[in-house]
Amino acid sequence: MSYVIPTELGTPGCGTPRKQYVSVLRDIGLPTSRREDWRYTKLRGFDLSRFGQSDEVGSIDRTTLAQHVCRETAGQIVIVDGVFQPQLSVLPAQPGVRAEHASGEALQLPPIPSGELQSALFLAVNAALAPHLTRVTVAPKTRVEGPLELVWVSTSSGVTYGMHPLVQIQVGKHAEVTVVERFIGLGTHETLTNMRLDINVDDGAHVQHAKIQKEGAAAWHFATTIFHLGADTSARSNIVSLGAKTARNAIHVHFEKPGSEVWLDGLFVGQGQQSLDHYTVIDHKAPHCTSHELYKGVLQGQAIGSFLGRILMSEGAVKSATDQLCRALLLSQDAKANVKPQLEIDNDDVTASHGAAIGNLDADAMFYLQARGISVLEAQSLLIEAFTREVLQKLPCNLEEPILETVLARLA
Amino acid sequence: MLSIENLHVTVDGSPILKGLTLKMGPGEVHAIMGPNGSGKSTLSYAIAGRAGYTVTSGDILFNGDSVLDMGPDERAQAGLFLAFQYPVEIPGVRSRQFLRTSLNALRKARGEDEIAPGPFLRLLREKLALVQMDESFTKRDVNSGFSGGEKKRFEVLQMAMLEPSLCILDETDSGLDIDALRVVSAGVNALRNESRSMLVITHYQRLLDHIEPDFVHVLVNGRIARSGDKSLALDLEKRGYDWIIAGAAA
Ligand SMILES: Nc1ncnc2c1ncn2[C@@H]1O[C@H](COP(=O)(O)OP(=O)(O)OP(=O)(O)O)[C@@H](O)[C@H]1O
Ligand SMILES: [Mg+2]
Repeated sequence: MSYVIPTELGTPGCGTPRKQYVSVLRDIGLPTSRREDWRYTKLRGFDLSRFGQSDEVGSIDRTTLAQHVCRETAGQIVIVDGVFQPQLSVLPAQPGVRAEHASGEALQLPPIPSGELQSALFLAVNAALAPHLTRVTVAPKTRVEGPLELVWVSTSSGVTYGMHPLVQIQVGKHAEVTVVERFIGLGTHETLTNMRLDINVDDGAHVQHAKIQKEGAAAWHFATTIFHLGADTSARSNIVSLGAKTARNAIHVHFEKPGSEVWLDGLFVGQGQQSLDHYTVIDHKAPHCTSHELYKGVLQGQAIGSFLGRILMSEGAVKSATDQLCRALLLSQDAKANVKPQLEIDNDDVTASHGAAIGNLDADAMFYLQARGISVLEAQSLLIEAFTREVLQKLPCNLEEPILETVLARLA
Repeated sequence: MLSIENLHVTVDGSPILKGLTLKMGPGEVHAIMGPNGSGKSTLSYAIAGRAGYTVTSGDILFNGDSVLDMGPDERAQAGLFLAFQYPVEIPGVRSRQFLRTSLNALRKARGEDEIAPGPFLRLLREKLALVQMDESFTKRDVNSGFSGGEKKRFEVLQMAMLEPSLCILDETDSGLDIDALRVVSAGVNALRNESRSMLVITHYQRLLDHIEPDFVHVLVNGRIARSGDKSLALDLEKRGYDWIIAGAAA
């Protein structure tokens, strides 16, 4: 079961636009570690042609599913082994909230953001192969009660497949919504996720976005999230990367109009041979906007965690501010963290700060805890908990405690 | 209770303790005095089992058994307690959670169940009163932003909660104002009993006015240079260390 990248047209009925993406892909080729922005991502052994569309869907019952998702939601879209499962999904019932799939002629592919060649490669693959566009629309002034949850499960069926989710969340003026993305890997076989998520936030609207990535141990996970922000909006994003063999999250924030504020937070917890990458680009095009970034990583084994944070402050970004902090905790000799802030500032009427720290568990604190009878493992847990809380406590929907438990269990 | 025999300890390859011998019986209070850098904290770390404090020869016996192969946690579980000269700040770890984790670790080692929230809170409040600390401290992160005196009170609070059989107090009096010294000493004295032993490291006679020692030892250059009763501390107060250092060199 292999999927040949179409050279002419995409899925029948999708029209010519797809041609363009396929040619992008052909011309540029897949990224390799030789490219600067992909330097840290472990891509060895990645072969796109191996991942076809799933022709067999494993089963998951409601009880198992319930262990992994939010108890109460405003709507839940469940995709199993790459295939949408209407019987497991709950469509939003609240007036003003709509979820739908668009395919064929109705599928309007979003443009690939200019200047972002690196993400563009995977976005092009996504555009060429996405079966449909999942669109969630929140009408103006609607306050969505409970999170909208998007759940991708890969079962332990052993089916190797590739999926290319294309999701758009449209938040109307002065609306408020929380979106939770889940990636749940129940198997240990190779799978590919290559996702594009656009979150378009209209004037005065507020969005909170959380992503819990727990793909299986042999999964490839690539995701690009693009925020387009109107005037006086706020957006919070919190990405927790726990699973996959190689995972790369790119976030692009476009401040299109004045007065918005953004928080990008992330936690990556890696072990074994995992490679967990975070690549953020915040484009301050408009005045009076503020961005905050806090990324933390805990790495053991031979895991590699990377954070590359680009901030663009163009001439139009007057009275804007940005702060960025990335800290990584290395629990083993062979674990590795790469942290690279990249501030490109063409405006002297802005404030910008950034910091990075890579270190080990504090030996003094470890001894102090042990001197109180606390075992090495428990002392480590306490310090890791202390380290990760700062990010986890900002998670919505009571996710903090269960995620913390998962984090500690993974590192034990 | 504690028997230290001809102990040699190196730190980063430098010999710091050079043949220290000390014996403490149950219920006894021993004071250790000595000039800066003479090895007092090194002794306390060596007893507590800090990594990097390498025992090159000699032994430390606690209740008859060598502790040298035990980790710091196991030594604490066996009943050893070190009140640090410089308590460590641990941002992100709540004091209350730390105290409960520690208490439960000791209980678990004794084969007891975890303490329930109700009894824990009662115990905590009782001991807070003993060292006159406000409950709000337990909601803060361990030692984070505590003043010097508050850190020392917090050490004594931990000691009172954990009820060790051997307490080592490394300059618990340093940085305390007169009132705090009284409170901390009262807290320590309340823990004195016929089975619990204390090793009190200090530079000042004034602490020993509050916590009366059975024996006083002077540590010079990694060895006990002189031992005596509490009158030795008074002599030191008057005459300084020079006469002992001169005697030790001779
Ligand atoms: N890592 C190290 N390498 C070499 N020497 C060290 C190291 N750490 C400590 N020392 C030395 O060990 C000696 C004893 O230090 P220690 O802290 O035990 O002294 P102390 O008696 O407690 O002094 P104080 O009264 O100032 O608290 C000092 O001379 C100190 O410089
Ligand atoms: Mg000292």
